[in-house]
Amino acid sequence: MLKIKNFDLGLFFAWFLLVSIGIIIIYTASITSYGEFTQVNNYYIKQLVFFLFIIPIFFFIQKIPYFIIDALIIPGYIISIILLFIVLFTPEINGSNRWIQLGGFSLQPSEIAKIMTILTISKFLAKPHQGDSRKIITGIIIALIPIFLIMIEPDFGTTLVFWVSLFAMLMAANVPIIYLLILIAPIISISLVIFSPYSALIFIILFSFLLFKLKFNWVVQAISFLTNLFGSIIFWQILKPYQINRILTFIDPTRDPLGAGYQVIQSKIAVGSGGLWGKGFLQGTQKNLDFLPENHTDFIFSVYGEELGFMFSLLLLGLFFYLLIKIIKSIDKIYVLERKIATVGIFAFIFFQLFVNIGMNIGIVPTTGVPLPFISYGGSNLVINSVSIALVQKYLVEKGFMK
Amino acid sequence: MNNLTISQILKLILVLGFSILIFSLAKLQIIDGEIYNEYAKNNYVKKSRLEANRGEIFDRFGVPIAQNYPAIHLAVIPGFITNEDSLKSFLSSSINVTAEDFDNFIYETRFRKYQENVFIDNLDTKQVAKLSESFNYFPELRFSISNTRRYHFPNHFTGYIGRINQEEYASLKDLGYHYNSFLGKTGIEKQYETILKGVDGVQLNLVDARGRNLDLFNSISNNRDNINIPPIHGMNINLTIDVNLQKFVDDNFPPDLRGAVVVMDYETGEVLAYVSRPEFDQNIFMSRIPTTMWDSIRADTTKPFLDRVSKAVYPPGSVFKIITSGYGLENSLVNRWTKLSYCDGGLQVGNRYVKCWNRYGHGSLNVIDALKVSCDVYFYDLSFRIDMDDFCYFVKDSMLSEKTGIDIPDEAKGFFPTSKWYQDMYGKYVSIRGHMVNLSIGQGEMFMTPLQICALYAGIANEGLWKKPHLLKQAVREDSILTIDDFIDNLEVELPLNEENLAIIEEGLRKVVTQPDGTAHTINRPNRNLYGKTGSAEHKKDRDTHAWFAGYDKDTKIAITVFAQEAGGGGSVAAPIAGKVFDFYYEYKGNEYAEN
Repeated sequence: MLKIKNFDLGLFFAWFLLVSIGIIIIYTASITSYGEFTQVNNYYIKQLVFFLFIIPIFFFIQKIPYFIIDALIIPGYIISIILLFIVLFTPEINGSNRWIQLGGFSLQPSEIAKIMTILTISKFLAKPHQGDSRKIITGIIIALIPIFLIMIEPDFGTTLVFWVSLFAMLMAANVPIIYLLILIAPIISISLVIFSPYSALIFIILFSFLLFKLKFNWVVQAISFLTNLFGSIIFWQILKPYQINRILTFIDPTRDPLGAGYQVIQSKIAVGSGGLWGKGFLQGTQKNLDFLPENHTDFIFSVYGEELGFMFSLLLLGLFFYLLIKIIKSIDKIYVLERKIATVGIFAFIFFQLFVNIGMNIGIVPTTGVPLPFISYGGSNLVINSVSIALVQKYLVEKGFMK
Repeated sequence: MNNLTISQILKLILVLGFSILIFSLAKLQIIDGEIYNEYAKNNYVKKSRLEANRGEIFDRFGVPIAQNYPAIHLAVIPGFITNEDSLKSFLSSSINVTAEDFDNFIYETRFRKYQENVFIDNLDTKQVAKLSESFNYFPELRFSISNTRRYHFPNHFTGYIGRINQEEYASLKDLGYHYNSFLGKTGIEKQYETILKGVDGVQLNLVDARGRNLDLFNSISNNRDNINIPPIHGMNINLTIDVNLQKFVDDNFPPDLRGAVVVMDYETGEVLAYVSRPEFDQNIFMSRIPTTMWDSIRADTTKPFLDRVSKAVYPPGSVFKIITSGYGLENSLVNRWTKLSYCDGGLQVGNRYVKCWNRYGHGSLNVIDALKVSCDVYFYDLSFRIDMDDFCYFVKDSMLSEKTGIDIPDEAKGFFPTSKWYQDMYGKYVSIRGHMVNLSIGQGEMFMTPLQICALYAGIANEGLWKKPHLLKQAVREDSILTIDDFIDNLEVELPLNEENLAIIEEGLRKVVTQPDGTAHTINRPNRNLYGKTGSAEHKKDRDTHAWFAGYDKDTKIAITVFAQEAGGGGSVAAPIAGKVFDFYYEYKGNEYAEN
């Protein structure tokens, strides 16, 4: 591997270490023991098989000529959309249609759609001589198709990942941030009004003042002001709490306020009780008493935090930080705009999933079904995240070729 | 802001995001770590179920049939068991639980070892007293107080409920069932399970290791509103059953006989009485059944669990003759004046002499008189003109050998053969004609439920409009009311008989009761409009015939079918029971009208 020119060893090893840690944690999460009773699931073996499968692919990607990858982007996007269609007609698992069963393993099309949508959007955004509004519209249209299909599954958490990546890629495509802010301002003010009406009012006033200062077209100013104001008023005064709850449930049908509340409390107790040094590998009491369902997927961090404690949590976060910083640094080294935008998209989706997942494990972010990248159990997720890192690596390797 | 490059912005966001995570993590694990460690050590969050009350069952006037009563159950937390042997001996000495039962229970609850699993339902006061003596030594035992069901009288329509079993739980837990839930196992309880059940509520409590509520939940939960979801109770049901009538029928059915009685309002299809004998007390299922009792119930040859109204099929005998007559009239094989072969006590069919039930013979009769005296020879002769397969469709169209679709699960379909069926059974050269002779009088390879017969006679009474028999009148919760239309489609079917032919059949049925030589003359009452037909169906050599009576009263608008298994003649056994029911209901309705 060292023969590959410009190969970023740091990026590679950060990725390699994270997945390895993931397998170890899945192993402890797979074991439930109490007294003489021990129950072991084989999740960690499956994850290990995926890991062994993805390592050669990682290097293979470095060797494929770039024009082949380039030619595969749009067909790949179309195939992922078709898979998202097919998945809607598969039997339900836990109340949603997210997996296509293929022999021994299950394929999660939304994961494939994630990377394909990012690559497709970057391809279109990178085309020269486009206006900002055109960029925004193209991006939204490309993202909206998979988002719509994933909403039907339903899988609200994953759709958020698409929005965040789109937002970041538009920024990378030199769309002024203020345009993007105008788009998401109503969402911000509605979120704020649920939290506190005053903060929403302050936000609306400041935002309008900002638009005024930046000398925006008065039509844009008026529309923005009114949508913010009325959106907030509707949520603040007109809708009753149970109606808001109903809307939120409509957006995310898997929302189970009590069930999620239960998991968050259990997760907080597990992580909190880990303390500075943790209870020791395989020794988590909350885990062993089986208080936390699904602790090998979305709530895997609670097992990590409980058994290994704050210091090792810092180590894990440090590793993630190193990986993400490496990606950011590579952005400056990549000169082809399309690849630069794609790298920003990849950064955004990994960072967003990381933040939301750990955030919900420690109770500062509402529960949305988002896995912890590289760590949570799940083959599709692991493969796609790893392919993304491999792509960034490839962009670095081939950064010298200008298009 | 525009001076910043994209990578600078991302770095800012990255540092900000990680600072938030690390700060929160430090607060959770270092600053509050001790507190959470306490919680984890001594406490746990308990998700307790707020059980929804199951809807109660009443009759059409609100008389209770099945109700909820609080009871004390014994629950076990298997994970807390320290000395299994001493627990087993304690349970067997105090409440007679066998080691085998206990092991089964431990096996079934192996995936919820730290939850309260109800083990023994409905403890009586003596058992509670005995258990309480040594309760302190067994922290794994709990008394759980929740509802049990009480059925006010034995019957076959309400069915009964039971604790959900392992397989049922596996398939139903996504629908909100709890592993301690009750589930309707048969009858109305099963049919209307979804509306009776309600939706359980949930409460979250932080409790200590002994299960004491610490009330600490609010301090660590961000969301106070979501701690408690109240249950939605099940809907109460009013059945179409009239308990007064039901009890009268039950009391007047001879105690030593097996059989069934159905009474229907023929204008609506509402079932007013639904009696199957012998009966069993469903309340035995509400507490643990000792194995010996279970074995004796199973060994009982009278099959008390069998619902003879809608789940058992029998040859209908002569009550079926209205169908043979109807087919003859509809297809113009005979008219009301056509007289068929002379009955001298039987008829020569090929090389066989088939007997009429009356060995002295009836002479040559038309259709009305043939129904009146139930002459078999008339129908034998008529059967020569009938094509079995076409007749089979007619029987189906008359809603026999078709499920009636009553709102009771597992209804029997009944059976009427085709010529192909005989050929498959007995070979290519079977005499279809010979079998058709037998079928024409309702005997041989045909089987129907008493309910199907009752629905048919109800349809005849209701001018040929067959109404689907049903038991649900309404289901009520607060301000919402559901009726049978919300549950069942196609409530009516047009019988394949035109007005003229219906009138002919009705005339025959009327004469059965009114004429001195009619087979049900014993129930004739002056100034009343009773119609009916008796039947005595042979089914096995050397056994008594099944006694049948099917008829209706045009004054009170009810149809009735009485079936007594291997009890003798329809005229002597079944008709008098029907007569008493007609009289009772006539008087009872009369009083009701007088009161209003």
